[in-house]
Amino acid sequence: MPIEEYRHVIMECVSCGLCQSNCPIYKQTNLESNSAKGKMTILYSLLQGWLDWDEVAERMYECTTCKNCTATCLSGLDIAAVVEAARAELVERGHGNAISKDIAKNLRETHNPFGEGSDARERLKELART
Amino acid sequence: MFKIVEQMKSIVGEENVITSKVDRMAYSRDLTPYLAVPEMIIFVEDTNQVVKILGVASSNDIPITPRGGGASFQGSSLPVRGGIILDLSRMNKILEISKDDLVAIVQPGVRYETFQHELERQGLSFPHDVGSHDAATIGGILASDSNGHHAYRHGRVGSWIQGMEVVLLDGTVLELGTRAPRYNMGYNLSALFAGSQGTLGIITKAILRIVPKMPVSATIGGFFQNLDDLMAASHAITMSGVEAGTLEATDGYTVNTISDVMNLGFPKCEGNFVGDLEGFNEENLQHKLSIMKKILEDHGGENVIIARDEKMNKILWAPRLEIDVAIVDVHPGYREFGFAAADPCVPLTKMADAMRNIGQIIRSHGILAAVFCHTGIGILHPAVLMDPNNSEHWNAMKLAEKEILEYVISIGGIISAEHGFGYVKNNFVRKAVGDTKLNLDQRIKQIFDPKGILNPGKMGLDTDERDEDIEFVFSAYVADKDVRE
Repeated sequence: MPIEEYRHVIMECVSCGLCQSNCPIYKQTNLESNSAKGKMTILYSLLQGWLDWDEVAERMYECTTCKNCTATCLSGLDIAAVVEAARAELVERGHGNAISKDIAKNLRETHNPFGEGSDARERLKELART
Repeated sequence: MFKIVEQMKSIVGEENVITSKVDRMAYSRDLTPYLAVPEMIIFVEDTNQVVKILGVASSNDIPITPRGGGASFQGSSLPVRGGIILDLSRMNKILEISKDDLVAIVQPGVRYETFQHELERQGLSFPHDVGSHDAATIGGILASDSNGHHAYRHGRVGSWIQGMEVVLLDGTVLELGTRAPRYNMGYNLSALFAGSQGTLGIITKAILRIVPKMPVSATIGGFFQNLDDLMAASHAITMSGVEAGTLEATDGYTVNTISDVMNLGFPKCEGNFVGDLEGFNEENLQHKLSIMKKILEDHGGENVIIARDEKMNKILWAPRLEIDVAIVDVHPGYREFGFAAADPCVPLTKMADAMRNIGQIIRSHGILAAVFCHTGIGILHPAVLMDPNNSEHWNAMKLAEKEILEYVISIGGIISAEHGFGYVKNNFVRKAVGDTKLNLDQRIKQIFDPKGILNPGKMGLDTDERDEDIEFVFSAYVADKDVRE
């Protein structure tokens, strides 16, 4: 679903900041752009045409989608769903995140997300036996 | 600007000066319908950095707006004249909690609920129960002179400041008070800085009075067919001498909506009452509860409920706290805004009429209203519930806030009793306080901030044509014009 479909959720965010202190990303940085509140303002700015997709990409990927923000949200908003919709549209628009591209490439080439060879799987089997 | 950014980076480190547009946009909001974009965000970690940052800002006449959680309800942490956001959220250490001296020494970025939980772990409390909980920082609470739900019993937070450290624009680090419980030494500057909303200096440390946490507590609620009876009951509780923490009322529309959305089965009513109280032991608590219960029932209170556990407590408080959840269920896309009429105060005898009339004023303009009241202290919290995408709603809100404030003044009330003037009340300040008071306030501002760069555009001190006839929500006011270009 395009991010425009989530405009009403983005507008429902009252920007109270109750999402901040439980956010695992915000707690690391204290940067409001990393909290749900900041993300909703960023996406609002995107919808208004004040920001471009390439400018918002990095901040949208800085989210674990853990939903801690929903647990404390004054309005009970499903922020993770909005972030995931933004990510989906980012990918469609050619702004997939670098790590995902690496994982996809590794899976294609080695069938292992980390790019390790088949011996890694054998080592894991050994570990499981011990 | 490049040179200034480099100077700032040399003070706090490159990673602590943020200039990217995406991040500047993220700092452009609070709970008001306005949007103001800073030119940079600077994170500081100690008092010395604040001194140096203010020095560079002052030398270059750059506006500087302090910000903690950015949870202001009246626009006080919005950079409405652009410039610097001074983000104090990383100055978040609880430096000391002393059970013996009954003081806590904290940095401004400490979150209220985090602070309170740490105190409670040690059997102590900073008992104001600030409504924005962990969204608010101590610096923001002090700079707003907040009330909290328990202001009925404990007053505003300003009177709980035993001492503070404030950085002034000229680089002076002002130390006020000590851990000694009282001081009375000339003008009470702590009281001046409390509520100054960052317009006079930057609070970098506070020594706060704390109290023992009472071991037992309860919440009591009831429903009234008539708001006059509810207010009479509330006043009777006050006159009984029972020391409740808070006495609250919520209007019938809100109670009924929340009851329906959350399936709580509350009776239809014109308003509900909720109060909470503490005791030094169970017998003491039960004695107070029995007095309150009898008063509520004697005044026509129905379904009087006493909550002793978290689950029931949340149900009783739901009408007061859950309107933002309920409204998006009933009207998707609607939300509440911090507007100019969010915290008027009226004489106690006018509260019932004021709740009715203020709700009616808002609804008469075609938008929804929820009206709350701290019944022990006369403060009303009207909430406008509207669709921010609808320009007619925006116009309705602007008309409603003007009418409400005129009404409040007409019945002997005042326009702002809890959140302060911030940005949203700029155009109402002169009429509310009068020329003499405003001129004195401006002269005080001039002493501390002769350049007018500390949180400019706030409290009606330097209002100009930019603050009039503001445009539709969120496109309302963009300090940094290049953002829209």
